[in-house]
Amino acid sequence: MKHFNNYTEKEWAEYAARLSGEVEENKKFSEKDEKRDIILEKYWKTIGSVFNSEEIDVDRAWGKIRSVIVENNNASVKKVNRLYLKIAAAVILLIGLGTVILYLTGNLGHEYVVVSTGERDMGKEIALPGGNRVWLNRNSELTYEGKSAASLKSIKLKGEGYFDIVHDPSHPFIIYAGKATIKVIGTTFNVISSNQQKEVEVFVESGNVLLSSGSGKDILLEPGYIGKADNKSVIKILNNNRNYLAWKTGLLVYEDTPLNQVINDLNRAYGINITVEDASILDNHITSTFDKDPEETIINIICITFNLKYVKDGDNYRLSRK
Amino acid sequence: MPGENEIINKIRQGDIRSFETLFRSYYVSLVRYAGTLIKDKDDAEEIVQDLFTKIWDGRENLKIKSSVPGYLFRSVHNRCLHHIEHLKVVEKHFSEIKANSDISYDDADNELKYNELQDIIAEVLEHLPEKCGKIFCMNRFEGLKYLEIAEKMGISVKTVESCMGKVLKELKKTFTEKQK
Repeated sequence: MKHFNNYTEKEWAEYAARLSGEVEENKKFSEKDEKRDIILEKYWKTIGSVFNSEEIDVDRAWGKIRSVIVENNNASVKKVNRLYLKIAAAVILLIGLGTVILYLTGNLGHEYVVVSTGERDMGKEIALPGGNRVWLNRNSELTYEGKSAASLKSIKLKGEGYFDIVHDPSHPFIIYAGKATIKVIGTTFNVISSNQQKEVEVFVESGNVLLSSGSGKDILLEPGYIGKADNKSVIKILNNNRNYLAWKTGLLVYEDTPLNQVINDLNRAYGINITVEDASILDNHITSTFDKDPEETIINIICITFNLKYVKDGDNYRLSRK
Repeated sequence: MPGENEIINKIRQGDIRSFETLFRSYYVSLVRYAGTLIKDKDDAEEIVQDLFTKIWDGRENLKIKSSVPGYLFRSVHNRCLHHIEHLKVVEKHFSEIKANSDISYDDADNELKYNELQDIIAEVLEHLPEKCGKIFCMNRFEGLKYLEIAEKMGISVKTVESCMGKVLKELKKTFTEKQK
């Protein structure tokens, strides 16, 4: 092997391939090789080797950049909207739809607690006795009795709540939602018990949950499963929506996801109603991460990405092509 | 994939998707590169993110004389140096980097200051065709094998090999000049 001052293009290519680990061991340098530039080789090998153990999250970084860009682009619009939101919030408080916690003392000396959330209360955290916690979605209501884990009973849910229950085998935690009964021992799970449909939906994040229908049929739900129970029957399916808990976490993650799905998630997480003028808009695919972004920021981003515009009317958003 | 000149043109016209393409193409490489100079991952990410925000803000007047990777690496390099000066801990940083890096400073013939070494990459990338700079980043900073790069870019492994050779040759040339 000659000195690299006289290397041909091909020899440089071979040298680079060897330094980049693209050739087998036996083709690597031998002692007989001419003077090599050790520092060049070490530089070649170590450049870019920093942060190897830590993932550099491009999606998250792009999300940050993009929200800055969108914020700057819509600075004037934003101000008006913020003001509007303030007024809206004030109105809601006046109407009295904010979170209401009632402590009622029954005639047997039991404390009876009612927690209800208003239209804008998303992911309200409530501490229950015994270190148990629940996050309530908007327009939901939780009632219970008891001051300690041992005396905690009659836990009833209307609407949607995410529960984080402390492991205590001696005191299984029982929630009544609609006609269904949910029995748990130390777990995190989400319950949807809407008023219109008689069906109760439970998604288990960790631990196990026993879900029973009104007629007493039950099914064991493992993490990742959704159970649905009504008066008569109970079924179990695997959850395939990673954004199921977005209403609580504020995190929406998309990888080449059809806009249709994104809109469904946004409607559910933010309690809004997004419609499109032209159904073909729904076929667009998006890859993005939204982390506690306001709904209008996300809609703005979608519009910029797919060259759309939107009209806002209260909680209704209508998307159309520009 | 469209040429990077075309991408720059589109960015100038305010096309956010082209901007995203550019960002995604170079983000990891630039953060790792910044990391060789400033060591702190969060700072490195912030510097690169800030650069891209500034590029977008000034997109209407965006002009790139050298290659796109050359421009990006040069900008990150300058920002890192500025950041280090700002912190007034240049010596501390370099001694830490030296202590933690694999590069030997003992070879008397090859002695170079570390910041000069980093400068070289920006310089090399400025002098090389854009495609070679991109390939180099994918291999050295993103850790992709030649075959993966070839598949991603829709080119042959031979082309990747030849580009990597060109970068190494240019790197050696710049090294030699610096040592004189």
